Amino acid sequence: MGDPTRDEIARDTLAILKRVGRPGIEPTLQSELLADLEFDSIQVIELVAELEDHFNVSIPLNELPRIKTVADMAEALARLMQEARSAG
Amino acid sequence: MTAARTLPQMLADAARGNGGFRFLSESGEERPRSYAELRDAAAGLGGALRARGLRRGDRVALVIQEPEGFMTAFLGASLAGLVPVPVCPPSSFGAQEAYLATTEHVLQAARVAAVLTAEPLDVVLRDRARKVGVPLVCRWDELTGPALAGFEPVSLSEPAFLQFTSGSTAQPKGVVLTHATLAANTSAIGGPDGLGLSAADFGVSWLPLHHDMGLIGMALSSLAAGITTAIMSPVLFLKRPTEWLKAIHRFRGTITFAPSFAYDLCLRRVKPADLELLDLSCLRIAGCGAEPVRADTLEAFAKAFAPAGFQPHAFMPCYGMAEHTLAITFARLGTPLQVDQISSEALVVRRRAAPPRGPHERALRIVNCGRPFPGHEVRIVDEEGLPLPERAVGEIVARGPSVMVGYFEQPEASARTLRDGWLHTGDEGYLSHGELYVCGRQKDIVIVNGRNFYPEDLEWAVGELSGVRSGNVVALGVGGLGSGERERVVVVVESKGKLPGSELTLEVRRRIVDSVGLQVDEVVVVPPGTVQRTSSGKVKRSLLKSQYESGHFRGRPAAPAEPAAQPPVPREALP
Repeated sequence: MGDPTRDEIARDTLAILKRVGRPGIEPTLQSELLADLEFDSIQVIELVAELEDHFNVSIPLNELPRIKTVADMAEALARLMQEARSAG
Repeated sequence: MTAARTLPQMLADAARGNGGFRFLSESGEERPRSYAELRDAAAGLGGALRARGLRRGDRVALVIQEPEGFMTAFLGASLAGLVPVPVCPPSSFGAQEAYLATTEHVLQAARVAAVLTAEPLDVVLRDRARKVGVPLVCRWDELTGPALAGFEPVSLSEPAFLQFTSGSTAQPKGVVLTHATLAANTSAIGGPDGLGLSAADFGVSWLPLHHDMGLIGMALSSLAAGITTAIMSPVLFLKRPTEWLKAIHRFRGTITFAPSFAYDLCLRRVKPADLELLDLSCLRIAGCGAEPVRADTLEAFAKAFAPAGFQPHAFMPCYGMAEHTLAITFARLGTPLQVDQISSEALVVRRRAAPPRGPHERALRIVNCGRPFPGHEVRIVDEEGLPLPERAVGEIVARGPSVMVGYFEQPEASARTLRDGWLHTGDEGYLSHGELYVCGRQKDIVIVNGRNFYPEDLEWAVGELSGVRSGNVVALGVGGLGSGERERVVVVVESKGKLPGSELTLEVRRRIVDSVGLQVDEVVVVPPGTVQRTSSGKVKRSLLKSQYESGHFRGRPAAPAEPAAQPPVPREALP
């Protein structure tokens, strides 16, 4: 099974956000995870764990300060998956 | 009883025994390190720091997330006669700028000579630290040099490290802990009136090491006693709370500590299938502190984990603060959780802890946090500092060998906090049969998931916003203590009437998230003139809080319903 494409990563990330996020808030790629989707610090980590499980990749915590929007998250996931594959 | 020892002496003693730390990294990788191995690694790191020109007494900031790196750097600096300054690493989405600004304030307040960090944070920290004049920034794992031949002899009265936990972001205050206060508190914690540690004990912790409960309560207390403790990355716990309980099971852990929210997180996240695999009967102490101890959470945890062998009397509620090194009181070993039901009316109006007058009055449930340690004292005092009788509510003050010598280079703040040898905690409580019940805070700190937030930091973040009347923003912590719920953060803003309430609400949230990384629970927009002040211009916080709690601000036209996600949480009727 090959790696998911960027579109697939973005689509799955949005689906997970809908599941673990606050009800009634519709995430888009441009949504900011904290300001728009109202994640608190514990939910942030829960989300990271969900994404790790789904994409089978490790997301180190020190990646987070550079991630603001859903699109940033999808981008970081794609890069981390790429790096994990290159490392074999 | 053994004589008081400095931190390097504790490490030297521990290195002769069989104990050590078992580090569990963020990815779950296990790295056992005996105290002898740690001493050797620390001597290498300490020697390298001295070789770079650092001198005895220089402060060294540690911004290191992984437990192994943190402990090696902490002990290395200590062996070299330097003063470690633990600093919180970044942890949230998109708030890099706010994080770096806060860190800069701490580096300046501590006047550090060096920053030790880890990859990849070193890149951004290097620029910012240089900006504030810190000459040396490096990764802890790239420091090599001749190992220290022996440890630098230090006296008990010298600083062992600085603990930055109090003060607002703009004016951080570093608690100076000497080797003497550290020795006093760690021996009280491990002693017969504390945890009663013996060679048979095994600690398990996921607590961050830049926080006093993780560093002193777990790591340094086990070092002082020479026992082994598994130190897991807090990130691993937060991602997968079950890993904490699995570690207790696997190592046959006997002692652990955590704030209430961690027990709550386990209730929500541990799956029934995992529960079946756990045997927690080995756990003789499950400490609870760092934020208000919530009886309902602990009772629910005890019930849910009873099938895994969890013993309810393992819960040990604690009270403490960095200004007292860490621990002030511990509940007695092996006693069941004691919860006092008191009338909230009597508490507020008569300042007495009295039973509710009838079944219709809402009772607050206050957890017994135990007694002070031998050689230490706790009193409840009134506003003049005079002692109050049993069950009268007042400020908690403490005296004894664990009290800090002061805040680093802050004589005025130190003098306000330390008066006639008594540490004024700013917390409210009462004593009953010599045991302490904590029921509120005089200080306006809000504690969310174990992190302290200062209202002025939140207020400052929002104050510049157009649409807000300048200066009329008030952040409140509501609920929490005794109510069975976690504390909620409510921000009350007076509008100038330009922006619709819903847009203003969104913007207030965004500003606070960006500047302090906190998701507030509710934003209430009120008309001009609502926030009342004292004659000296200070906001009447407690009045505003009681107005909020009595529903005064609900249903006002200026406060449109928040997105359905955040209705005011009704208090549960207690049985």
